[in-house]
Amino acid sequence: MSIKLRELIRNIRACKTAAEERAVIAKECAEIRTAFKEEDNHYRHRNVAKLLFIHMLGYPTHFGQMECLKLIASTKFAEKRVGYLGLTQLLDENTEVLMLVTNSVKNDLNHPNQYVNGLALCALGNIGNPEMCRALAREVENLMGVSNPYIRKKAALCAMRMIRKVEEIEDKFNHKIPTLLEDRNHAVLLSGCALLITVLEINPSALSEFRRYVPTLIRALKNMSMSGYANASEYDIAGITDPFLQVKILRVLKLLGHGSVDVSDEMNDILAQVATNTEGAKNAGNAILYECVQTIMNIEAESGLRVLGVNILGRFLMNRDNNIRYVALTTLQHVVTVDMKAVQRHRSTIVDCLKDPDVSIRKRALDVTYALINEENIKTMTKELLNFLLMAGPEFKEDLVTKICLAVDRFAPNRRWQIDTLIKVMCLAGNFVQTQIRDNFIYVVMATPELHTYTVHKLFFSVKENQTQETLIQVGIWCLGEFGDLLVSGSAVGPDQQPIKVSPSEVLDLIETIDRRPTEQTIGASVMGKTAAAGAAGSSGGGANSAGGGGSGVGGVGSAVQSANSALVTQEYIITTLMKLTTRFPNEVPRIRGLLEKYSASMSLEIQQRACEYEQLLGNTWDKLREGILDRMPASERAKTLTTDRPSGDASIDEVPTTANHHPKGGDLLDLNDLLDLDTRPAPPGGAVLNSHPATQTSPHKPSTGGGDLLDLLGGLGGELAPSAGAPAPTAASGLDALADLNLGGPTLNSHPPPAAAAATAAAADAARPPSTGGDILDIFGGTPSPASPPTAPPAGGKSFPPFTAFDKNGLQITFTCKQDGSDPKRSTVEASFVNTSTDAMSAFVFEAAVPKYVTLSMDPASASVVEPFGLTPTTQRISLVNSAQGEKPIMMKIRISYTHKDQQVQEFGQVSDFPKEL
Amino acid sequence: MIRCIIVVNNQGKPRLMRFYDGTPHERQQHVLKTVYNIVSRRSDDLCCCFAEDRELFGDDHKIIYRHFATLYFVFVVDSAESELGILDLIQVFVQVLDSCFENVCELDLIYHFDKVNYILDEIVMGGMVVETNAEVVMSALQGIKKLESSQSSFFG
Repeated sequence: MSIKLRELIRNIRACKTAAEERAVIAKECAEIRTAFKEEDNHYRHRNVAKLLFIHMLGYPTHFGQMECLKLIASTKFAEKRVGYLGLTQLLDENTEVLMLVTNSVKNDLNHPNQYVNGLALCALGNIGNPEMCRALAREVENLMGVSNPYIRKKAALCAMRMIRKVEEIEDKFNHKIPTLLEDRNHAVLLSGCALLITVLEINPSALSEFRRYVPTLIRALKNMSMSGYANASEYDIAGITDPFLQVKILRVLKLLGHGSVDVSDEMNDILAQVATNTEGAKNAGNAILYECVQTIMNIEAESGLRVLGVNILGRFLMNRDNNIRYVALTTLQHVVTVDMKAVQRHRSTIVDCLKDPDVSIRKRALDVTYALINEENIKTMTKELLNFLLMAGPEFKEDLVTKICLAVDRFAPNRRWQIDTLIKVMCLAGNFVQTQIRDNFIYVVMATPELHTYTVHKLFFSVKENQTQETLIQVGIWCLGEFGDLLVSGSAVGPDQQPIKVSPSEVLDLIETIDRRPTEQTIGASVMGKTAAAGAAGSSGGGANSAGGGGSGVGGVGSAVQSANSALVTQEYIITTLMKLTTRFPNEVPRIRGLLEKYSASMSLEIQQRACEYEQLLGNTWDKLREGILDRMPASERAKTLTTDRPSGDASIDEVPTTANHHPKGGDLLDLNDLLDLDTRPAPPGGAVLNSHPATQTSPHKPSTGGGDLLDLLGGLGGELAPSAGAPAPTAASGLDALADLNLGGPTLNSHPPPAAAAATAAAADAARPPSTGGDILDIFGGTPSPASPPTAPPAGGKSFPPFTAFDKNGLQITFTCKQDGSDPKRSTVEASFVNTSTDAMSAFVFEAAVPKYVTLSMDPASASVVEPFGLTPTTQRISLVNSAQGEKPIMMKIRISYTHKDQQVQEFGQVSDFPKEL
Repeated sequence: MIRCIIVVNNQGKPRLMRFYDGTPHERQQHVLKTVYNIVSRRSDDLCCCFAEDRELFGDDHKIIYRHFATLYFVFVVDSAESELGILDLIQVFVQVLDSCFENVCELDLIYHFDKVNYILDEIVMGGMVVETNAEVVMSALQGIKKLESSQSSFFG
């Protein structure tokens, strides 16, 4: 005899341990199975109900699937009801037995009782698969026209699922929508709007067909906003008439008004009315206001209306309710793209939200703040963001760091400032900097030869003071290897006009200290740290740092693996740097050799192998070649593209920690003058600017002592010399020009960066000499990647159109730039540019397009099969189109994009209908 | 649309779970746990009712929740729904539960989990809001009750 449902629940609740609970459930499941096997009709619905409860707790219940179908076929309502609930819970739309239920659902749809119809519609709307939808479309269509609103509303939503699931019945329900939109029942109107939204989403070309119902919708909205609608009082929430329906209608208006000035004009009055008349004291009113603003921003609204909208958001930002502030920030993020100026007015309020205790609000505020950054305000905004970086919790830091670095890359006024800021970021949060950003920094340094001396000094002293930030250490070590000679040459001059003297042994001391950091201990500690962090994430700093004795801790969020990895990566950097220093510090070779030796027994295969190779390279056989192999990295192609015409800025050294030794000696300021970038644009960044803002603007953490004087002096000199002096051309070390053309990937190919750099140089050396002399070590250097094919230039002549966004989802943005052929207006070319703003690369990227019959299409291969993260380098692809109906029909395009992102296959579809009408 | 609705108590025990986006059964418990971890960590007075978890739900989603006494009412929705609107919807849902059970408490939801599901079916269907008027929902539920008792079936 089976127990009652209530009894089962009570038994489960009485369990004290998970094991006890499992036992109770296993026993009950066994009994239910037996009952099912014995075809126990009487208790079947009770057993299925029990299974539903068991299912909710997460236990397998698939054996109950067939029983649901039997219950649905029952004539008793209570049994039917349990059956349908089981159907939607215990099955999913891929379950094969689902097909067997189609007939029962069909019978129930035709049942005389409305509640039975309701059950069937509900189940179909929740779980209907394409086959069921095809088979039952006619029934649903009929039910949409019945007089009972209880059935009409459910049928409309059922239709919505059907058009989503089955392509070919996409417009089967279109003719029913107008009636639904005129319905006086709120729920039916609500469902009608939902159906219409789905239709427009699936088939944007239906837009024009439905635009003529705008007046109908406006009327309904007006009635509600005036609170005179029939039966309206029942829908009141906090004194507002049916906010749900108002929101839904506003949303439909948003879709219908987008892109049409005439339709938007029709809506202007009602939107203004809603925006001014709705009471914003309660959540319901704010929901309407919020939706109204979104509609205003998305349609082609009058400027007055836009101002009204932004003002509402401004009011929202001041609201005490967190929810309201959150949605205001979300909306502002969209508004930024429409009307940047209006949002700038609220900048300080937005920046304040970065301090909010709520992480959701902080994240949103960060997104908006980032969107607000432009050339004019980059310095002040970055300063603000760096301040927040100091206070931010570990879970927020990575986001913040990425955003700062992206903004700096995009808008830095000069290289000097860019490098300064990035170093500052790495000093503050070097453990949260992603590898791509680190690599990017190195590219920038490489491509700015006039700042090499400056950068290596700055990094040397920064690393010396700060040995816990892994990324800082890595780029610092890299710079020491590349430019160590510049550091010890004594050519740089400090703020007190005395040369800065760093001896080779000091450099090696620093590398040794970093090398001797207790790494194993750190790894062990951060394993413990991880467990601690899992328990109470957010405990500031994480246990790794403190337990590891100032080791290479990764902070609270880093996992043990990550920590171990980055320590290894640092070691990889160290050995290559040591190797490079053998030619730069010839007197220190014995010491370096000693340091390198210990790595030949490293546990890491990569490091051990490199160490052994380097040991070979130090042998006499290589004496002649060594200099060339270990020469400075040439600026890569990528680095060259990075350095747009941005000025490099002041190269003088304005801060030297007191630990540095400097001896009084005749300063060679003029040398530095050569390095100065003397830009004569109206608002010159770099040297001249320093003159007017001494000591505060350029570097966020400049010490107040002495720095200003030097800058003043330099600034003055800069002014005098302006007409004649210029920045040296950013060419790489002369003999290596030819190598640069080989486009050997950067020095930092993810896992083992410096070796790759050495490999590149060595492989090039190999190419330059007869192959017979290429000894054994050269064998291990892999082939060089072939240079990327340069994009072919579009044909000259013809008419160009401004670029537009064709697709924007999940961090992938596709922009189309159209160009019409000069001689034949039917022909046009589209330059598709793919930008990946996410933090991981999109590999195996394939872009496909389909066009209507009157258009023919051909595509060139894409410039790369990978779209680089952080929107760094867009991948492009050229599409040629011939529109045989040019002038009559616009070009439309369906696109399919597939790529692998974070090891996951992604496939996206889209439709592009924003092509210029002239094409 | 609404992707899923979860009611979970302060200890992380599920009291109602409905998925409208075809989330496979094996994943449902994972979603429950992650969502619970997110909402239970946020303090009631300091935080807004919105959260996100891109790893779990992808780019286009929002986790919207309200905390009443011992229960979290969590709705995961995509950008086609208004965040503030969903907060009102949670209000309506709770209001209907309250009038059905008279001063609803967690125990009602446990012992009548089936009934809670039926109530939800009258408000949300296929991930879309179907009815927002509490009185209409109540009268439908009463109609169904009458139909059941006229068939003299029992349930328990």
